[in-house]
Amino acid sequence: MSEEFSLDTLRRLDILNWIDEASNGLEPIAREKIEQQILEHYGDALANYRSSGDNREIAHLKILQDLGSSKIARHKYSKIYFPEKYLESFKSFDNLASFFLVYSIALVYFKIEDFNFGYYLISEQVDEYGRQHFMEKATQIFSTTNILSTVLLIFVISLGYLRLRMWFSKNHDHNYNWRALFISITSLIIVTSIQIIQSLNSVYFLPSFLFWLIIFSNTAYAFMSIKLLLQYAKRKKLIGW
Amino acid sequence: MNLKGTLPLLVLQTLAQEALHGYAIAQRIKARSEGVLDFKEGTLYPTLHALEEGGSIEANSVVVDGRIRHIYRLTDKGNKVLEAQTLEWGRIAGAVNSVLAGAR
Repeated sequence: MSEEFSLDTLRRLDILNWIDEASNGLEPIAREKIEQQILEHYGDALANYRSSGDNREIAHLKILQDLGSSKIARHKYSKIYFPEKYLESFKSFDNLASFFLVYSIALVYFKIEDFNFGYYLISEQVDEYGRQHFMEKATQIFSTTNILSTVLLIFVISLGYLRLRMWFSKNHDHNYNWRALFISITSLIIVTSIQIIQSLNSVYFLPSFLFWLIIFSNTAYAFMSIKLLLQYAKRKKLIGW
Repeated sequence: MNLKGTLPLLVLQTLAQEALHGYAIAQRIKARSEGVLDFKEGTLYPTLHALEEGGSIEANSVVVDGRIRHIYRLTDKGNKVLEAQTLEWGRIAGAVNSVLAGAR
């Protein structure tokens, strides 16, 4: 009984090892699906070989032989699923994008408020005092408008952004990571709240510091993300050069 | 014999007959070709996933005897893909046969 149990455990480890190699590095939802299917396949094949008169050990070896190389399967799966490392980079890129979303609202608003100054700033025809003035105005937008309309604006844009991400996820058939979404939306809310608080107190340093902190902590990942996404698109033949 | 690149066509044709789960698809293809067309079953599932991603087939999870089974069936798009690929395969097979006939 004990020996049979040990053999069963070893066989299970064999097949789990095959699954692990075949799904290594893929996104969690793909790994789960692959594991379910291969175990389902194993159960069917075992029943089939056993009904043909093979003992458990022979049946097990035949199944592994029929499955073939886990590395070849891994290579084929990687053409279909978003590898986890791509997903990680995408998340960083996504966080950066959500931050820029908030900041761009301030910039757009400022341009509407003071178009000429925005033009001079972009043309680099302003001095240090002018730049500070720009940053102050850009980060104080929330004090110059009705709070309710600002909150609504943020809410509508965030909702639109959320819908876009969900569309992307659905149309690319890869795992929509709710944890990553939570982090993104939380950063969005925190940064927005800090900007609102800052605008009421008119403190210039805080948003600038946060701005650069978030930019620096995400830029490298964002570049890596763009590179990996381009590689992925090329492999999927979405783009060709 | 392992004919690289033909597995999606064989899967689509098999599912055109009836909805099946992964292991049954593999067994059906091997049985129909009387063992001539052999392939590693580990590569069947990536093929199924790719066809599913492309919308040619769809999977339903059903519980049979307390076990979850993924049953695949052909979609309308899959039917069209099957028709197109069957024509293409006929054209290639015809061309190869013509060359072989000339060589005799």
